[in-house]
Amino acid sequence: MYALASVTRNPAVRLVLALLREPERVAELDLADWDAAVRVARAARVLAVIGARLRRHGVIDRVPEPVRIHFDAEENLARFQRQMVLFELHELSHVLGPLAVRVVALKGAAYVLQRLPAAEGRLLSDVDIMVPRADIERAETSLRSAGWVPDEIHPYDEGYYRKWAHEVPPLKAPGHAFEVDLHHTILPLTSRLRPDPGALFEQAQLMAGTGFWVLRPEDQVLHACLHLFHDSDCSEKLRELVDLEGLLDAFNAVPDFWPTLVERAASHGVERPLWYGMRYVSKILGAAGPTPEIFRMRGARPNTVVRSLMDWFVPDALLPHGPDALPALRTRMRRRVLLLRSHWLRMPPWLLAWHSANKSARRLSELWEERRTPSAEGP
Amino acid sequence: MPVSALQQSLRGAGLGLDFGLVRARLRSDVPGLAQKLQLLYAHFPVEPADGFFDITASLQWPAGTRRFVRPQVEFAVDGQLPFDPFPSDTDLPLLEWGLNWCISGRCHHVLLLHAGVVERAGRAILLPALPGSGKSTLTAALANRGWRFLADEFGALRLEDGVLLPVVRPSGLKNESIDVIRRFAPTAVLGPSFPKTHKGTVAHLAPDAPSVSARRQPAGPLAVVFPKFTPGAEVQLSEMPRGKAFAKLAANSFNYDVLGAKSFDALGRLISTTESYRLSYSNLDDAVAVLAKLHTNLLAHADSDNGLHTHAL
Amino acid sequence: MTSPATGHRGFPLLCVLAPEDCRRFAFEDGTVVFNPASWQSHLLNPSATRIFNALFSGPCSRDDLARLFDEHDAAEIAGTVDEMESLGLVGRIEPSA
Repeated sequence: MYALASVTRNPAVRLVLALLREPERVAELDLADWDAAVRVARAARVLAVIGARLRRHGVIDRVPEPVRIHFDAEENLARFQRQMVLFELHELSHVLGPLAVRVVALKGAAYVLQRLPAAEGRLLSDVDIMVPRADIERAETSLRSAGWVPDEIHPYDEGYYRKWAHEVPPLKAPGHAFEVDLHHTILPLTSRLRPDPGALFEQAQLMAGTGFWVLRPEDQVLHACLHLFHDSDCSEKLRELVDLEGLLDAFNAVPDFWPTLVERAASHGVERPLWYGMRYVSKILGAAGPTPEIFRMRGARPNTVVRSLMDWFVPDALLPHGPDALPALRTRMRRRVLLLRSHWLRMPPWLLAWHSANKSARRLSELWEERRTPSAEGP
Repeated sequence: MPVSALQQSLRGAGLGLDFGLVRARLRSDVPGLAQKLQLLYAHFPVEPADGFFDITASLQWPAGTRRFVRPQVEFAVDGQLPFDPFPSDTDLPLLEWGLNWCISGRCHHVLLLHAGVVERAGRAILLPALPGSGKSTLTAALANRGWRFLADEFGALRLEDGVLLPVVRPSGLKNESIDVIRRFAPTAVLGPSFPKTHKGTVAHLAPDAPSVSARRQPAGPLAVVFPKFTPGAEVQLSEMPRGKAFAKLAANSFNYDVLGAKSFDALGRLISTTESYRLSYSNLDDAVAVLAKLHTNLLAHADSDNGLHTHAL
Repeated sequence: MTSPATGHRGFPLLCVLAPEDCRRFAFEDGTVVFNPASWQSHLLNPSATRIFNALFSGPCSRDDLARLFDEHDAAEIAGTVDEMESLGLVGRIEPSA
C-alpha cells in the first residue's frame, strides 16, 4: 500500500502505520493481522493512540471483541496517566505559583493542558516543565522543601545533569505517579544548536486558569523536531513522530503558522532538525501539512549524501520492529550511528570522550553487582 | 498432547493456552520445559497458534553465550525483556511469574484484585492475598475439597456487572505449603520443586479438569474472607468492618489506582453486596469446614438470583 | 441569622471540593470517598465522616464544625480538617461579601 513499502518491509509495522494513517480501513484486518499489529503497537507505545483515532473516526465498534478489550484497557491506562499529569501540575502550581516565575509546560504535559487531540491516548512517563535559568535554583529548592525528592542516580550523572544538560535530576513527590523534569532550556547547554531560551519564554502563551504557560505553537513543533532529530538517536521513536504529526494537525489552522514556523526556525538556528521532522512525518506518516516552502528553507536541506544516509537510517531506526524479533544487527548499527550523531550534536568531543569513558567504567562495575530482584510478585 | 508434539509447538508457531480472562501463546527453545508444561497444563485444550492472543511470550536462551557455563534463561514478551535472566534450573517459575506479570500489566479492562477465588453453587468467595495470609495454600485446599478453582492470583472483577472472571492458571506454592498440600490432597498434581528461587522453594499446583473446563464461566461474589495463617491458632471467623475491607482490597490490587472512579464504584459495589470476614486458622481442614458452613449460611440468605445482577449505586 | 456562606467573622470557609463529582460509600466503620483530582480513595473514620457530611451539605466555618463535636475533641477535629485539606478532599472558599 502506497509509499509504505519504501519505509518498511515488516508487515506488522505496515499494519500499524496503516491504522495510524487510515483508521477507517480497520475492517480489512483479520485476527492474525490484529495479533501482530496490537503487539507492535503496544511495544511502540502507540496502541492507545490508534484506539483514540479509531474512536474519533467512529470505527471502534468494527474491531473484533477479543481485540477491542485491549483498546479499552489501554484507554483506561491513558486516561489515568492524563489525570496524573493534571494532578501533578495542580500540585506543582501550589509550590511554584508563589515564586512568581514563568513556568512553561513542555511536551506531553503541554498537550494535556491544551487539550490537544494529540494528547488522547498518549502514554507519558514524566512531567516536563521549564523555568528561566535564573530561577531554576529557587524552583528546585522550593520543590525539594515541599517534598519532591530526586530519584537515586549516580553522582557522576547528577553532576552531568546539572552542569551540562538542561535539566535538574528528575524529582518525585512520594505517592505521586509521575516524576517532574525541571528544565531551563530545551536542548543541553553544550549542543551545537542553541535555540534562544529567552525567545521561547517571551513568546510563550498562558493557559488561562492553570498557572502554566506553553510554548507558542511553532515553538512546540520545533521542540518536537529537535527532540527527535537532534537530541536523540531516533531509536524506537514512532510515538514521538506521531506527536509531531498531531501538533501539525492541531496548529495547521493557526494564522500564518507555516511562514512563522520557518521564521522561528531561522531565528533559533534550527532549520535542519525542522527539515528532517517535516520530511519524515510526511514520508512515514503521510502527514499532509508540510508545505513546499518548508523544504526550501535556506540552509536547511542537507547535501545529497547526508540526505540519502538519513533516508536510509532513520525509518529503520525510528520504526518499531517485531512483533518478535529484536532489531537486526544492521538496525542496531544504524541506531549506533544515529546515537553517535546525537551525542556529537549534544556534546563537544572532549566532553563526549569523558562521558563515554565514565559510562563504560560504570557498566563494568554494575556487572559485578548482585542481580536486580524483580519488582512484581515472585513465583 | 504428547510431549514431543508440545515441544514442536513451542519451538514453532507456539503453544496456545486459554486461561479464561486471557489467552496466551507460548514459545520456547529451552529443553525440558515441554514436560513441565504437559504436567501443569494437562487439562487445557491445545489452542491453534494462529489467530489473536492476548499475550505472546517466550522463554528463551539469551542471545550470545551463557548456555553452558551457569546457563540462564530469559522471559521475552513482544520483543522486550522485562526481567533479568534466571538460572536455567528455575525456568518454569520464571515463565509462570512472567505470564502473571503480563496479565497484571495489561488487563486494565477489569479490576484486578490480588486474591484467590473459589466458587460453589454459583457464588464465589474472594480470598485476598495479604502477606502471611496463606492464601495460595487455602485456595488450593478448597479447590481440592470440591470447590471450583477460579484463580490463585487474580480476583478479576468485571466493571460492568461485578462478576468475577476466572484466570485459571497453576498456583505457586512456597516452602512448607508444598508439603502441606501434598498431605492434604495426595491426588493433586504438583509440578517439580524449585529450591533456589529468591522466594525460597517453589512448586506449582496444576488446576483440576473441571475448573479448567469452566474457565469461561464467571461467578457472582458472595463473600470476602481475609485469611490469616496463625500457627497453633484455633480456627476463628470474625466479621470485618466493610470500610476496612474496602481499604485492604484497594491496597492489595494490581490496578485499582489506574481505573480511578470505575474501580472505586466496582469495589464499593462488591463490598456493599457481600459480607467481609477475617479468618485465622492453622489447620486447613478446620478452615475449609468453616468456609463451607459460611458459604451455606450466606447462600441461604442471599438474593434468589445468583448474584449476577447489578445493584444501583 | 448569618447564612452559611458568610460564616463567622469572614474567615475562609471550608467546603467539599467538587461535590458534584463526589463518590462515596457509607459503611459501618466509616465512609470511603474518591478524590477526583488525585484519583485516590480515602477511608474516613466516623468523626471525619461527620465533618465531611456536614461540608457536603454546604460550606461551614471551623467554628460551625466544632459545634458538631464535644469541646475536648477540638484539637482532633482541627487535625482531621487539616489532613482532609492536605489530601484535597476539602478546600477553602472566601465567603461572599
